[in-house]
Amino acid sequence: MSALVRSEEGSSAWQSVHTGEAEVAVAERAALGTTARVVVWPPQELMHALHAVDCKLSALDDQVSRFREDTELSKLNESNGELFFLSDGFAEAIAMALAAARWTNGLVDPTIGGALVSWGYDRDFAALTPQGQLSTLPSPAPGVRSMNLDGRLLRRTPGIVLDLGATAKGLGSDRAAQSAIRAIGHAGGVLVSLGGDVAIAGQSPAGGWPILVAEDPASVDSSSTQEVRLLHGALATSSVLCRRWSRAGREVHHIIDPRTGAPAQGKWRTATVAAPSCVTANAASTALIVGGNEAEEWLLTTGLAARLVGYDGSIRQLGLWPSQDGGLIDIAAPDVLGPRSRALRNVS
Amino acid sequence: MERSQDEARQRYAEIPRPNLESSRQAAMSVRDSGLRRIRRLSNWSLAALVVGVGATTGALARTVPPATAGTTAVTNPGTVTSTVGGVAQQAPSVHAPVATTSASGVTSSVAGTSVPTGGNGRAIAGGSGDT
Repeated sequence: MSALVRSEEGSSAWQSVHTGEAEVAVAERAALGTTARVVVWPPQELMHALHAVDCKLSALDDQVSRFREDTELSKLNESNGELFFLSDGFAEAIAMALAAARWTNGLVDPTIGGALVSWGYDRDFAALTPQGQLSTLPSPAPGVRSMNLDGRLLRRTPGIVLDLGATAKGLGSDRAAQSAIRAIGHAGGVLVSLGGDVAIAGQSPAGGWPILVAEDPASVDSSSTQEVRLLHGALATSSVLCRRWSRAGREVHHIIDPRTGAPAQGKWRTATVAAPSCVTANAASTALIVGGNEAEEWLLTTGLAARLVGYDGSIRQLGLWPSQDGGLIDIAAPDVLGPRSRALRNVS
Repeated sequence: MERSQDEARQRYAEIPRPNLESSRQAAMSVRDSGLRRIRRLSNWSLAALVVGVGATTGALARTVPPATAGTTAVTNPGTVTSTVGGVAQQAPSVHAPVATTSASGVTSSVAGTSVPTGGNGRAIAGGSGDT
């Protein structure tokens, strides 16, 4: 089904975005409960790129959405079964989530779905009741030892509810960017952002893709932002400032600490990570929010770069994160979670 | 009895013996001429092969375009160009930020009604719903 056909059916449409840069084309639309943005050069290749991105986003939504009853993840979560045969794409998404859990020593964990539901995040965020009581008492995540993935065959302890929020958007950006660059014949460059998780493919503009680092979409004009130039790699940001609601008189957010089952109360309110792939950056930024000091030490061993914002607004750079505005990010570390990674091949 | 034995010996002696020396010379002669013939054929074959390869290379060089669409080549250290239909394209210089990395904003797309959070232009194509 083509993008244009879906448009006629009334789903969200791509909107052109005028950035003042004539040599790239930019388009944006609602997707996956957030905003997808595609930037392409040469600009005349935009339609080819958008079609490729649409196909990938649609497939990802069918695989990992927790808020539609007909997705693979919803069927798995609602099933009392133990053994599942997954589609290729969903198996890859599960494999990424399991690999991320092991890589971060459990600071991110796909088995937090039950805790999220307990805190009331059981539907599309835009439809969430802003206030209410706890449906059940949240408990620590069961952990990925309750799961075993062998190729496309998943064995899962019945009753475990999965949420792939710490890896799925990054994976979607990676998939979409790679698909878009193939669609334009590798002749140019592509940037795909899913809710601020940015993947690039092909050739970057001279000096890298200029990208603004912010805490949340509403604070792009704030003094705490920084402009960086991404030559190779990907960027992802996690923050407790967005997706907040109240339960049992307490303000909560969506980043769950798997060790407690409660919203993370780490040292940093926002973490941005530069990594070879967006799924890796996505997992690492979530781990930094959850793990605080422990996660900082861990990140320094990975060769990645990060920018952290504390609850008092203080900013800290880790690894080779540029200190100046306009600083270059060129990540050369081997990818740990990307499609060709060793961690993914060894996942079980 | 003795006579018949003598006759037999004489008859035996009359059987012509093969001239081994001349046979060896004849064999060597045949072999040498065969080798010379093979060498001559090999030389001609090699020459024909060289001419054929040269002609094919020349023909291909005239008919195949210098680059196919979508290839990337390093022209100078640090300067990379892409080619579309054989026309080289220099990577553009982009000055202002074209994307933001941040916590994901929330958009809703329910029953065909979308609420994008930053689009400022015309609709160009459609997509799917939300996760």
